[in-house]
Amino acid sequence: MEREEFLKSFVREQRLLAAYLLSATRDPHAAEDLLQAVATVLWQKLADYDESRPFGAWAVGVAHLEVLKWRQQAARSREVLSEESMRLLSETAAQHAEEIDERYHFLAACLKALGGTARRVLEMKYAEGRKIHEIAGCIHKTVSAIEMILVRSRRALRDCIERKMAQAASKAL
Amino acid sequence: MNNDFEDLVDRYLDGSASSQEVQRLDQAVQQDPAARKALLMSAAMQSQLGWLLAKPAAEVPASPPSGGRGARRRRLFAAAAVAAAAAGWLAAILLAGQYWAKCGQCDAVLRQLAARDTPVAAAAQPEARPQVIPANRVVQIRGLVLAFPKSGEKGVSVSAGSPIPMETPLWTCPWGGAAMRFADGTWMNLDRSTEVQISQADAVRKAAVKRGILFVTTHQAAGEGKVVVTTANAAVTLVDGQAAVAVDGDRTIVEVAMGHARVSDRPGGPAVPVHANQYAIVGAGGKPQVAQGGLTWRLAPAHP
Repeated sequence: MEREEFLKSFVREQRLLAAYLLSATRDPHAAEDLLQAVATVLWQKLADYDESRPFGAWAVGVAHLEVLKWRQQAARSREVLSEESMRLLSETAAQHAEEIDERYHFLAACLKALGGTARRVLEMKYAEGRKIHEIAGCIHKTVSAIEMILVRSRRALRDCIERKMAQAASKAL
Repeated sequence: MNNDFEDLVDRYLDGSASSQEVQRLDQAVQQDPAARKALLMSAAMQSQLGWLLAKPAAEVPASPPSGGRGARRRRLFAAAAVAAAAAGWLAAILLAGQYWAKCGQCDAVLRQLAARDTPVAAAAQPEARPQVIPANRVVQIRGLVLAFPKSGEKGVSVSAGSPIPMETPLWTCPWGGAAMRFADGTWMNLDRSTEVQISQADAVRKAAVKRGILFVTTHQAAGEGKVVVTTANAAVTLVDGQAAVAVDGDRTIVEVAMGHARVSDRPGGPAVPVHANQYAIVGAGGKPQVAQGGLTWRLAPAHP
């Protein structure tokens, strides 16, 4: 596999890897750093890649090894999932690569329907990485009000994605 | 999956789940394929939200993909170079004296970048400026730094030649760091989403890091040279060298790239030396723990 093809494959599977890394670490910064580490390892081990296998499954396998290394350090200082759970999650991730990609496009559409305050809170939380109390101070609401907005917004987005998934499935039949 | 389980997953991903809740989730993940899928899809949604909601930032010229941890760390120490890539045409848009409301000031910039539109209308100048020290004059700047002369009100972009009033909070946006060189030759690089207050007293430059990562380079020969960086639980004195000070939750991490720094748990407290290629971690109420290597590359508060 040539460099350009590798980059295309990696970019295609980036959402899958990011989802697995965040589910295993529950730390956006650690997940991002691990994503970089995984990219480096994949590039270094490209010669070992069996092109008859899906790239995503191979990449998730490498990501799982990086997660286990991270876990050795992180488990001392924080509550993390067991190694078995992380392994099972990596298998699940490899099985649902297409769905994760599909959901990304539905999420983009669902976000457009989200109201102003909810969208702003999500931006501050996920795009700007702010803490709940900072968001509360910034938009003059209580911490519990922000938590409730987050809970409702995420539920609304999940419901919207599920509806669009169901509609797409029924059209495909 | 029901709402209760999805809320548990969200608390886990937020880092707010209790030990018992994490154990409960762990059991569910091991026993139930539907729970595994629910966790994975929630994680996918949260990581994707970061990308989708920060989309305009992708239009800012970025550094090439990192080559890994070492490259990441080098990139952070070379934040000035990275910021310069974005700053070229950014500078054409952002004129000195443009003001934004404190909440949403980065959004306003992003919208301008996305639309390549004219800058937002300028607001009134603050009525009174706090005391300014000549050495606090910025002689060179790369990237965007927003200063807030009056707390909670309006922000101004720092430009070359402008002094920074004492105790003024300085912010960088989530999508780009910045570098400032002061009249005495000291460089301060602010990583993305960093907040710092700068002051000076008795020939000592002081910087209080509220969040994010501050990189300091100072040369004794260039001026007074001594820099004291404080966080909520640490004080770092750097006389001649280069160091990064990162606020990571309730910890402070100090990494020294050149020279050496003295690190204590409070200003004037007993300090330990930290030399080049070493780092120190200061936790809440604890003494600094020094080790070989570096950690700050792990801490950049960035989003993909």
